[in-house]
Amino acid sequence: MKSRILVVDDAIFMRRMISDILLSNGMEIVGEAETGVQAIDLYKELEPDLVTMDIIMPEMSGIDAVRGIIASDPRALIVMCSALGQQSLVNEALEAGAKDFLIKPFNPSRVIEVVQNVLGLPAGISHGDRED
Amino acid sequence: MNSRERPSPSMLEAMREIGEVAVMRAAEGLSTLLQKKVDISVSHATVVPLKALFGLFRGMDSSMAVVQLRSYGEGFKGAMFLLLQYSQSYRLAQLATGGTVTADFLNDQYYRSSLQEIGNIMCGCYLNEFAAATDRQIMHSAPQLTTAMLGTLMDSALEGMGEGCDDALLLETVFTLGGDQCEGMLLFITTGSVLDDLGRESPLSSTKKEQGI
Repeated sequence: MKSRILVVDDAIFMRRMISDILLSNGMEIVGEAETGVQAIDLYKELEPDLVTMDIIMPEMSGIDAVRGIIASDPRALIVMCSALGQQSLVNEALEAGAKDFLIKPFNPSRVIEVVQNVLGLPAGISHGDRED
Repeated sequence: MNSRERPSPSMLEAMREIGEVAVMRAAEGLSTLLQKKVDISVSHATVVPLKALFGLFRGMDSSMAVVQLRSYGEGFKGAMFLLLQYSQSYRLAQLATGGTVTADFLNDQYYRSSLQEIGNIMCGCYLNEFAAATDRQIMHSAPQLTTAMLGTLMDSALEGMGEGCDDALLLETVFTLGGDQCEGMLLFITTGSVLDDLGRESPLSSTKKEQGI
């Protein structure tokens, strides 16, 4: 079964980039959100295996969205997507319950490495090859 | 910095150094983002009085695409802009996405988003280097892309920035993506007291030496 991912970023360019990286490694993009509020709603509706979450977004920040998701599902797996120089925000997000973070702009292999690790999958195996 | 004083040579040198390091980091970031070789050079750097900037931009009626990041921190406010002539924004969007860009590309969310992300990296890298150089923690907003006549854009963008902001840093930049070139301009506006911190020393010299710049 493929890992089901929810991609959250206010920039469609970045959402498409993340989605392309994950899709090419056998994962399924079950939804995309461009605000923190949408992310919380879609998480409840779609129950994805993992969320990639931008930090700076209009309306509601990614950190507040993490808090909202964790409040409804403490076991949620969330990977933050941070720009350079936002280390203090990354720390805040990790304290809020995010599992790991990626620095923009993304290196595709790093994206896969982090997502695989957070999902608890062995490195180097396409997610489409999971046996569960 | 008092508006009657001009930037000291050491301040100008520091701002140029920050610009050079920032565009180097931005080029690395864009190369990763776009999966192609990107070089960015600063062809000209200058500090101009804000009042002169208002006059300069009011005189310009060409259509521009401007990516803007508001920045803030303790005792700090500022704004950073990537300014692109319409023709250059078209070219940059085309080079960045590798797709066929239509004439109304600035109404297309995907192409707008690609320019926003490029501006985000360019402006973000400068703000990060500036933060390190002035020993400040600086946060910035999500990037916003606006398109209009430059004079109109700048009037709106500089609203609320005037008080305490006497000068602006202009960095004329040249992007080279996979052998193709396009030009843009980075504009940084902040409070004069913050710029004063740069005049005391050239904070990035050691970094540049370490990196062999």
